[in-house]
Amino acid sequence: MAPDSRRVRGPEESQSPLLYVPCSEAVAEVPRAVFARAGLLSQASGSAYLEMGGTKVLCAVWGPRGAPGRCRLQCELRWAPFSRRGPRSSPRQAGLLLQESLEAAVRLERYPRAELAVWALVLEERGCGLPLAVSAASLALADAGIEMYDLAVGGGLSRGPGGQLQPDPLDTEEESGATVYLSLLPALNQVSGLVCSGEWEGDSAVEAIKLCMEGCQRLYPVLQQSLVKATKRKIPEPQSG
Amino acid sequence: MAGLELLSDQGYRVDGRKAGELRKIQARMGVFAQADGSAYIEQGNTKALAVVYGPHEIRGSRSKTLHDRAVVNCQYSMATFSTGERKRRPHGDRKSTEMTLHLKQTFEAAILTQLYPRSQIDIYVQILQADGGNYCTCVNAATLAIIDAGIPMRDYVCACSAGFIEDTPLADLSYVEEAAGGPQLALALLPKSDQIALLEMNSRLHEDHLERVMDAATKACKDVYAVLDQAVKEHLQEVSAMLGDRGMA
Amino acid sequence: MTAMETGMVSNRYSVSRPFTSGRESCSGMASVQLSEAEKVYILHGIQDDLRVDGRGCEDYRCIEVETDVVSNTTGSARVKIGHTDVLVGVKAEMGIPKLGSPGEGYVEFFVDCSANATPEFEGRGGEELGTEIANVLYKIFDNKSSLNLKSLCIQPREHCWVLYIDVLLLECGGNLFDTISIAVKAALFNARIPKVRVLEDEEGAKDFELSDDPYDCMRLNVTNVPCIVTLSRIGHRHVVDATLQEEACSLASVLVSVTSKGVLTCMRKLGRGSLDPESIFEMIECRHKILRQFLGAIPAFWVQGKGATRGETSTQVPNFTHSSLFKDKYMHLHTQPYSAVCMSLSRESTAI
Repeated sequence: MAPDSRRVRGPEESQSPLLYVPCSEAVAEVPRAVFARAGLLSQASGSAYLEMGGTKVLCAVWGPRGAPGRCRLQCELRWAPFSRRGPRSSPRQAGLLLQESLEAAVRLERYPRAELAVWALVLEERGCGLPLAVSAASLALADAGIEMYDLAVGGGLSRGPGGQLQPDPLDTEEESGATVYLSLLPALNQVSGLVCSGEWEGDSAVEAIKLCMEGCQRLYPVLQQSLVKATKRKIPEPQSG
Repeated sequence: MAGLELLSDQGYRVDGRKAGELRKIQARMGVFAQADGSAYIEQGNTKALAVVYGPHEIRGSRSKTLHDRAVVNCQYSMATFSTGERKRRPHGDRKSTEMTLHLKQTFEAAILTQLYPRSQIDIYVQILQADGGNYCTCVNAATLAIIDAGIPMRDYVCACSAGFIEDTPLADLSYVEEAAGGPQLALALLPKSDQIALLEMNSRLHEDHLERVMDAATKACKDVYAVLDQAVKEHLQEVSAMLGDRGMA
Repeated sequence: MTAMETGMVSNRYSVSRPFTSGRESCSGMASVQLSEAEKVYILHGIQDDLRVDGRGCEDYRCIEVETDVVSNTTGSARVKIGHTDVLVGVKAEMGIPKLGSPGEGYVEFFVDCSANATPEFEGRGGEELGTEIANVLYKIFDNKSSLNLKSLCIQPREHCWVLYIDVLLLECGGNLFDTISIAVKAALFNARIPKVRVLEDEEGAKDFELSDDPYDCMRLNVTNVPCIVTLSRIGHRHVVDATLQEEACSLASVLVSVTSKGVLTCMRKLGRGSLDPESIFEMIECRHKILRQFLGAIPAFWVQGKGATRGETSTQVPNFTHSSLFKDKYMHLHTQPYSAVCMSLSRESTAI
């Protein structure tokens, strides 16, 4: 092969510097602090912002707007380019997972010939981006006044190297291997989305799912509260007298 | 240059065939139940699968509708593992688009499209393993699939390639012979009426030799016809036997 | 309003929501149109553990596995379950190891939903489903034990084998994921990767010598390669190996990938419905029973990692075996009357 004269070739043995970026050894406080706010974007029909111990998700909903055919829920989930350090492998088909989790919660049959667009952006990823996006999206849908059966609340869990189950894991913990993401309709006790990866022996998967569901139940009142607050902000105080 | 000897002094080719000899053809019709017609064919190591859907209503935009005949819709694709080097895309590249167009032209010439106005016939062919003569194998497979679907044609369409090496016309080129870069001719023929459905030639060939190469290709096509006809007859026999069993039960 | 009456809770009788989203379970998978009465018929049968084709809820259809069908691949297999027909070719090519794992080779998946399966897949129509299936495949292989990737390394950081696993969908009759996973496993089992000798001259330049003896090859250990079991929730029960019609009746299904030891490597909910947590646990539990059935039904190579299947015996020289693709199969009876074919043929010959 003819050497490229225009370019200084690196040494034969060269590697990406990213391999040597030190990993933060932070341990997540359990449970991670949650901040939720609905109805913050004026341009969208509904919006929500969720923050959980460093992970920040913004979600906006447009619609229902006219479209031919049956009602569709069009979901898009993106990670901002600056959302995490190191080489960013955008999770494949995240939008599809979001859609699957939300479809069971939204009463799509009430909106024939219409389309609902859900657009979620993970601003900062410190673990649990996908489940948080599910919670944010259902909050935004509710804020937009879309009829729903229940809020879909997302929860994540990972198994540490010692086999202990860690709810709401950090991104460093997620990489360790086995993770579960789940979305729950808490009032109906129905699971609308489930993604498990890594190796789960025996009944450990069942245990993990149960723990994940508990986490979702804990998050539920927080979302409800923020929804009530947003509604109060929108509707003016009734005139006394 | 000490290249590969494509034709030995004794008149044998690399795989041991004579100049005018075809590779072994094995065919099977009705391989899928869900499609309206299907066929699988092997010509030597080239393996192709053809599936026919239709005639049915025009799918997609109505503007394609032809009021006096059926639309023939083709798609040629190659499995990503079919070639020696792995292919990136099964279809949609320039070569497949060209092949798709060729197939469409071939079968528009053969199918009695005027019997099905305002309808569409889909022909999908898939190369599972490529070893030369892809177009021809596809045409043969599609012919069988169309017969399996019961769509009337003017005649079988039989296709075969021919080349010209060392002053000798060769029939049914294999991949090695194709890769050598000599002239290549692909002929799709309606054998009974000796009508040409498609003729394509690549590379450079002296005009004086054209007739000999054409003759070789025509003969090869007729040989292919004999094999295909046999396959169809065997298939019909098998099926009618099964129908007969059903009738008695 | 209750969730029940709208069919969101899938263990109710209401099987369809007339105005709901047009997407059936996953992407544009070849869908069938069923009337309400047909759905109820299927549903009632499943309540009584008797399906339309006479199977019980946890029975698979007959699985046909053929290996070594495409001779210019490293390994290939064709699997047919009912009307679902899948061809998988594995090609090993040399590449550069990924940065994160310099001492390992890697696997690439590609799923081609060809128009052969259904005209809906023509052009780019099958791409969405193809990537979805490929992503699931990536996920089930995303762990240390499925495949020994270290054995694919030729020289750390410099050269490794890349296994391109290409799935070709030939016919689509329900239960795609299970069929594809079986075919992938069989094709990997069939794969024969030539041994490589690294030659180094005085200047340190490296040269590779591929062994051209077909027997001098490396086989992969497929014991831990997982298989997918898709359980579709229909009515109060779940069924395995659902046909297209049954898939149309199901609002939600769970895809579980299990190794032969019963270890779960991936799990996903598919479809637009939601599931009761209890039913999910039930489905997870049920994998053991199905696994046993699987191991009984499929040739010994699944467990032992060696042995012979149809079209392949240990004495045959690889790459020269004659494939048995689409041969000696029973005939499918067509719905199209064959007399029509004969008629059109004879009419043609008289016309000419």
